[in-house]
Amino acid sequence: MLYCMTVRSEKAHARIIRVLIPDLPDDVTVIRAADIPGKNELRVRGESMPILAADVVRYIGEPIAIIAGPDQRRLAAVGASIQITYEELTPLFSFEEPDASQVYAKKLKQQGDPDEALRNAYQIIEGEYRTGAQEHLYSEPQGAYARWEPDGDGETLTVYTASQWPYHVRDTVSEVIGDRAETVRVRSSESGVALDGKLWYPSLVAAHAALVSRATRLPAKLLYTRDEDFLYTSKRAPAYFKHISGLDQEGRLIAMKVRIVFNAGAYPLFTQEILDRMIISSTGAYTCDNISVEGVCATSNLPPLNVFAGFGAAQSFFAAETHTFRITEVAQMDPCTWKRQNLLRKGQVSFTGVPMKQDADVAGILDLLETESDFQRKFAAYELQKKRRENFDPLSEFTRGIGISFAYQGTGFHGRGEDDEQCTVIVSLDTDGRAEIRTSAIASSASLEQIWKQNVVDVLGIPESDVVIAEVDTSITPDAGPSTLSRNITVVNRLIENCCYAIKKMRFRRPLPIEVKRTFKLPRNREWDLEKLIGEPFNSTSWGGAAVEVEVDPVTFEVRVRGIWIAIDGGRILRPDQARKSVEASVFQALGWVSRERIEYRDGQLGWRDYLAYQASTYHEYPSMWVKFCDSSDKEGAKGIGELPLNLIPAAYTEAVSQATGKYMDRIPTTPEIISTYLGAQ
Amino acid sequence: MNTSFILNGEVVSIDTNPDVLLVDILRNQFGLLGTRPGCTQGYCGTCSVLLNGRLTPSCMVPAFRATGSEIVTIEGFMQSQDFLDIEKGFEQAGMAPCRYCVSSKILTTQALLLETQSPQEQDIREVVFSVWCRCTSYSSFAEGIRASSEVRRRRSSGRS
Repeated sequence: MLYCMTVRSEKAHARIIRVLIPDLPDDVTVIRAADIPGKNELRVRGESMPILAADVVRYIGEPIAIIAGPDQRRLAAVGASIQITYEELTPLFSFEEPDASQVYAKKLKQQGDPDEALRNAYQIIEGEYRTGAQEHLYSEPQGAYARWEPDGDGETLTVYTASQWPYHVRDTVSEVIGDRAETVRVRSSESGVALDGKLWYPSLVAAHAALVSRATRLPAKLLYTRDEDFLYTSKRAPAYFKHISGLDQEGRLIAMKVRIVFNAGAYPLFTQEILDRMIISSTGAYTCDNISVEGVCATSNLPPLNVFAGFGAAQSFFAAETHTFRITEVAQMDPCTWKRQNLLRKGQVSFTGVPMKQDADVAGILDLLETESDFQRKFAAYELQKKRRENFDPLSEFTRGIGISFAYQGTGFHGRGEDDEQCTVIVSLDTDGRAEIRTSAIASSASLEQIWKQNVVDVLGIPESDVVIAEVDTSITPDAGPSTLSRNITVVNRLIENCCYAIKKMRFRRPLPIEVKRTFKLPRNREWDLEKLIGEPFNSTSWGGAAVEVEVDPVTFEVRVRGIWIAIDGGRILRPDQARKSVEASVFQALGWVSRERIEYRDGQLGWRDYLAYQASTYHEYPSMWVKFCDSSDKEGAKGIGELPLNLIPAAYTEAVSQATGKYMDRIPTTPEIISTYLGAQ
Repeated sequence: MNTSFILNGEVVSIDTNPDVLLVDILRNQFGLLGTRPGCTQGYCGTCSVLLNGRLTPSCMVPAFRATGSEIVTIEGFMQSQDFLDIEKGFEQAGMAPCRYCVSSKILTTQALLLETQSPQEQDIREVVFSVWCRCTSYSSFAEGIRASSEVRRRRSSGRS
């Protein structure tokens, strides 16, 4: 077997003048862009990036070559002996005010006349909000193993990797090696929760390993070290928001103007969906007649920055909800009263122009949260404390605050791409009475596998021990498209259920084995205008609210979460206990992002110390948590709920810290250092 | 360099180099893939094994340092009655970690229950942070440990 190592760019933006490869041992192989037999391209939904940089490098760490040899320990020395000469170009790292060359995509969505409404507003409130990058921090580093395996009369190039989208790996590898897709087989390695960090990146690593295996005919393994993974792979896209809102005399929202810029790094991927989701989420859960939102995708000389569970919605909800806190401060209204007045209600028209269909209205969620968290009493008490402190005294007592937020989670986005990403599932019932589920969707947890199997148990009456889920293998399991948690619940689970009902109809009428295949396609009657962003953007939408209470240490500025309350209207909850645990896990991901996980590229790069600091910064507490699933009138389908805490918790947390400190916190992460800076205490 | 140790109850000998880590030996030479490398810095805990009964990140131990030790990986531990206690406890608590970290969470629980069958809340709080994975909340892991402890106590007292 050959071990592989990636030779990376040391420059953020440069032209490659020369790559000098010294005499290498016979058993060492070097692959460069010119050696790629197929396309030097990784494509996702019409956007692309190079597999190996050919002429120009656009971020520090961009792969330029792959070296491979049987002795892993010798590879580092070989890699260091390769001399690359560059002609440096001007790198761009900032993105909030992008210059023309950085603007990759731009979209404006408007309704009513926000400028006129602002002119007539009783109060105008402005705010700027910033959200940082977040590392997915999946358990297993990126890696792939490729080898030729006999297949009938011929051979297939089999790639083992942990990917959320095995068919994307297959298609990428086959295009890169210049062969038919059927000659490549992808088998899934065990993986943990990837949070979309394994959506497209494994295709790049797999292509690198496959190129080596194709060139040498030997098995090739490329496994990133943990720090290499942290330093150079993709992260959640950082974003900047500017909100300008107008209120009438009663505090009603009459105008909203929002500008969004997100940093896509060197190679924008998933731009359409991220931008669209950010725009339609930017008004939060509120109603307003006059809205204008401009969204910009900016490039920079940083690694590709794009998806993290939610595709940008979490950043947008944070800004929208944190801004409402500022509004209530200026309007001198308590948050619940203001929200009751401005939340979208059933029958009201949303920003995408469709009447709100939800029966359990968000005000019901608000009532529940208010009662359970004792919000009004605590908010009033902490407000009084805040007013009594003219200036924050670092030597005074611990201070407390409480925040509340609302958001939704849309599942099955009707944006570009999903037409081509159909989801197919096969369920078969064997002559010995055992059932098998075949899908390339990745169930990253045992509980999800249990939910899938439960369909067979419930519908066909087969014991769970006789239900198996086939290992993911593109030569056997059908294409399920990209595996996200919400899609696994709302689409894959529904297909399995449909297959089971179809088998039930045929059972005892047809001889065994019976095999049923079902494919999900977006409904034909869906109305979603891709350009104007008008219509129903999602297959299903779940709504939720959260309250977060915190205590701030006056000396260290550490924030302790005293309690979290979450209420969710998520349709039919399949397994309430598992759903609660899924929500709790997502709360921790959200708390890590909002309070500690800081990624700051300096001159286009992260360092070893950043990696160690990030590891140490992950959330290491468990506050008390109350989770309630509301009675929903929609009993039909399961909706995605696992990402809701990422949309809810950051704003509620930040509002609580703002109240506790008396300073507006307006960014993610709100670390103790940030709090200290805002308090002028450094 | 030749090294011998007891691996899942069997005496084994290997040829190794000073810079070869125990995690690599377990996976590559013995095919014990339940020991899963994560951060490779001794931080995340996903590669933990029981080394002389103590929870140890195998990515931080050069293989030769294991000479004369007793090592239990998840594959070995699964053969024991103690494993069934924890499996039952996790199930009762509705805890369903991802496939990548589950073995280390089981061994972490076992290491704690070897120290005390009735861990206090503070003991539990200390160990839940020793396995880092985004799949499960710490509170959920703590519930799993409490339930496992209860199952173990019931079995020890003959009540199960």
